[in-house]
Amino acid sequence: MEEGNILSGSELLKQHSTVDHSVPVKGGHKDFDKDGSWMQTKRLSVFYDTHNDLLAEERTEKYGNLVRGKWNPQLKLVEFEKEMGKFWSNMGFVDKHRKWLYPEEALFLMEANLMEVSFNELPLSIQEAYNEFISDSFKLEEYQIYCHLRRHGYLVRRHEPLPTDYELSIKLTDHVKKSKRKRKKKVKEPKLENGQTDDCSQNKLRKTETVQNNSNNLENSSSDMEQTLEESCLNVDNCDNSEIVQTSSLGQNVKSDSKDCDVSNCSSTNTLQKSRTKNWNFSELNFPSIANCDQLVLDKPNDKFLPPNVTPQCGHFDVKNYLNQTKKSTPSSLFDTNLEFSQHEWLKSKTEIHASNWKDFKQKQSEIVKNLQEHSPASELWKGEVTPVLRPTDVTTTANILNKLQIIKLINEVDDESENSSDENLNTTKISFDVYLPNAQFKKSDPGRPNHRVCVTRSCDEPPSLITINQCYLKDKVPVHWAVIDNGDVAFYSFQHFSLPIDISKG
Amino acid sequence: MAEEVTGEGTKFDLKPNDELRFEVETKQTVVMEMTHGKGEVFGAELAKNKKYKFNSGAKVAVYTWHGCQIKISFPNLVGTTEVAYISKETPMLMYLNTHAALEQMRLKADEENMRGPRAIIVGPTDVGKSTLCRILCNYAARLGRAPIFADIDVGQGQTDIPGTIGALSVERPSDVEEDYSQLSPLSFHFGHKTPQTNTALYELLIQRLAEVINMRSEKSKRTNVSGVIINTCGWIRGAGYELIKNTAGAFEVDLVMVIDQERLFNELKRDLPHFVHVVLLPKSGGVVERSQSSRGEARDAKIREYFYGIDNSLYPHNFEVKFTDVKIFKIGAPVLPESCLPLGMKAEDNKTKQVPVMPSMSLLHHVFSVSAANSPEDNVVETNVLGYVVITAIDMEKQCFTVLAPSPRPLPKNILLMMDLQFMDIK
Repeated sequence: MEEGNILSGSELLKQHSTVDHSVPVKGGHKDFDKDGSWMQTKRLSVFYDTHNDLLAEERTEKYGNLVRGKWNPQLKLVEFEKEMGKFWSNMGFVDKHRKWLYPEEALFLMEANLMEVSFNELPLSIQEAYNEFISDSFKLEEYQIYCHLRRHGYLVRRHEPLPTDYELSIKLTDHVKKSKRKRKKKVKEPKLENGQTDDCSQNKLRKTETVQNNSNNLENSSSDMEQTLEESCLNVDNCDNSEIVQTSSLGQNVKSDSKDCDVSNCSSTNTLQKSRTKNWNFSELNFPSIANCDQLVLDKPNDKFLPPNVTPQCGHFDVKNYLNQTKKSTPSSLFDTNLEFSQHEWLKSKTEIHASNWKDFKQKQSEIVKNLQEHSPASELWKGEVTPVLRPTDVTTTANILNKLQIIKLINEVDDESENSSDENLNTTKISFDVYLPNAQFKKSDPGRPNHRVCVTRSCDEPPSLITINQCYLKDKVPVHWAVIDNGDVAFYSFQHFSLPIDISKG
Repeated sequence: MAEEVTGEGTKFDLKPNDELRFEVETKQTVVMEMTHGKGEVFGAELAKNKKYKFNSGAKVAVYTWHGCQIKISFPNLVGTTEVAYISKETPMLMYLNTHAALEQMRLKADEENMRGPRAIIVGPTDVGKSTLCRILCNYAARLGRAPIFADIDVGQGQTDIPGTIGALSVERPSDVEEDYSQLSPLSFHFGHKTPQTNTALYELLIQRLAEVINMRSEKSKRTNVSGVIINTCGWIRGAGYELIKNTAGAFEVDLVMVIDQERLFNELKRDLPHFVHVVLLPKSGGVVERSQSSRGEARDAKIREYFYGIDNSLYPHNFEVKFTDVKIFKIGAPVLPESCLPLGMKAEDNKTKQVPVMPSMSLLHHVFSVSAANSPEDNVVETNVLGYVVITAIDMEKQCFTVLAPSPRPLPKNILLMMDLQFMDIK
């Protein structure tokens, strides 16, 4: 493989004949778990030997058949001049006059013995290339997934952010991509963009970026100036702050004490006692109520209670008739969704409070609740170290119980998205690749909608949160797969929406 | 009872205890005039030979104790009167008896220098809770009382725009055309259309409203004796039922009126302390069930009315406000699991926190309350609001909003609280 290492005819023939195309068995976890037996040690050593041999195998290729590229460590891209073979139809991109390959593409081509990449004027070995190409912005796992998909024949491109609705509507997507990039830059936060678009942008180069940053700084400083100016204006404005959009008759600003309260029509404030209440004798008062009776006779109220110009006659109200009528119009509620718990009755029966007024009542109620917490019939459950999550007093509503149990966490998708958009969340899990089915008509410049999208995670990583999943599902409903790598094994998972049947209502 | 169609409109002759009901359809106006006798609309008396104008969406019921003649005409359209009809079966006598009993309590309270009756009206949606409140307040006001009308129905509030809870002191009967809109209420910012969205905040505000009403009652004997009438929203199940009980406790009510829901009546009778009197009242046959969309329309109309007045009689101002001039908050942070919170803090605490909101395009068309608080360190959540503005345009480059406000610039205070509600200033 090294430059200048030219093989003689006989050596070449020898090389050619030894090539064994079979792939050695990979083996799973159990195969490597040493059990101390002689058989296994032997088998493992054979296994490692075959692998080592395979990796050490010299690969020969006609020098002229190799594509030669140059590694650019700043941009983390491989530049090359002359393309050969079919790969160019679905790999790499052009920036002005130069042709570029992403590191995964270059590495894949190197492994397939189609390319030679030089760095500092020296060609890289595959091992060196792994060292050089794989970094924080492009992880080994991503390369593994890339290879896995490529070997199965899929066309894999780096993930392209979706064009916005606006861009679609003015058909900007059909236009040169360069202009699209610039437009996006203005909308996005600069910090976010550095992380994200670095990976996926095609033609953005360091130079343009720095120019952009400079202009940003300029803008910032000028807006700072404006702000200070505005503030000084504001101070002047505040002096003659004329009041009131709407005044309130109950006191302009309730925050300040009762001093501010409107006292215009108070006649005998001093004699008035603080919230003195009376225990009304409702049996004297004759409040009409249609409960538990068939006919309600309504007397003519005493004139002194009536406003002027109201002269009623006696009458009666046919409750039975009324109930019959309303029953027809309003269907009786089919399901009464109040959950009844076994101790529900017990709780209810205990809360009989004898009090003569609200103050008394509230005090006694709080005492009872306190008591319940201390002496519940199941109080021995709270004596040990491990205690139940729910207390009998928590059983008030279904929502309260679920809240205490923390089974169902409410996620407000809209809210959370706006909250976290500036977070690192977006950067840590991102869609790495757009995957297309093998297709002869595939065009790099206009790839169309991908058939799949792939996020890459390791098996030791935390499973993605609901919010990140939601963020990864883009508007166009292309299925997103989560590629999980476990010791080199690749598995794809995807999430699907479904609604659970609701048996309890959160009252 | 007779109908008579003349060139000018339709005449209705009402006998004593009849009720004429009509609904104004969209984009129509109805002009009503009482030519003979005596009549009232939800307890507010009609003046003879005065033309009352009702705009689209209005639902009107004219009741008469004496008999009267009403003339209805449609200035925009020629004669579609099928929506107007006369009903003989009304629960008005029952409501009047309820008022009489309340008045008895007021007289007694006056004599013995005590607190007047406090009544809460509960029931499912669309049974006429607000109407009953209005009737009871108006009758009381006609007798020279000044009851406080507390409206905690955040969805379809009568005292102020939706998304707030508030109270006003009813010193004279409501205007036939304009309801209570000419009085300036005390309002607290809630920000959502339903109490479900943030029950913790809702309960806190109710507690606060009750405190303020107590404060007012202590200052004025007339108010104290006249009592409080509380209107609730139609959420009566599960946590909504708990809310009703808590509200009754917060206001320390003497009386609960349940409209048209026997089950609720029985539950409240069982669960409320025995010194609270619970009565069950029938609903009126004239109650119209509103669809979800018509509720939305009603909310929108209420906000429009705030800025433009009924019949576009007001002229609101549009002006620019710099981002730096105002501080925007919303109440209630997203709920965090308890493991993420500092020690001793409950997840519920977050729901009543004020969270700063950065100016962005997402604020467009939202309604904002102008808080009476002077600085964010004051208890903004529990401070009343002065008024409302809508952000009608945002210029990110110039760093300023354009706001629609009822008064000219500048804003009276610089703390804005964001609502879920949105209002598009087009019509």
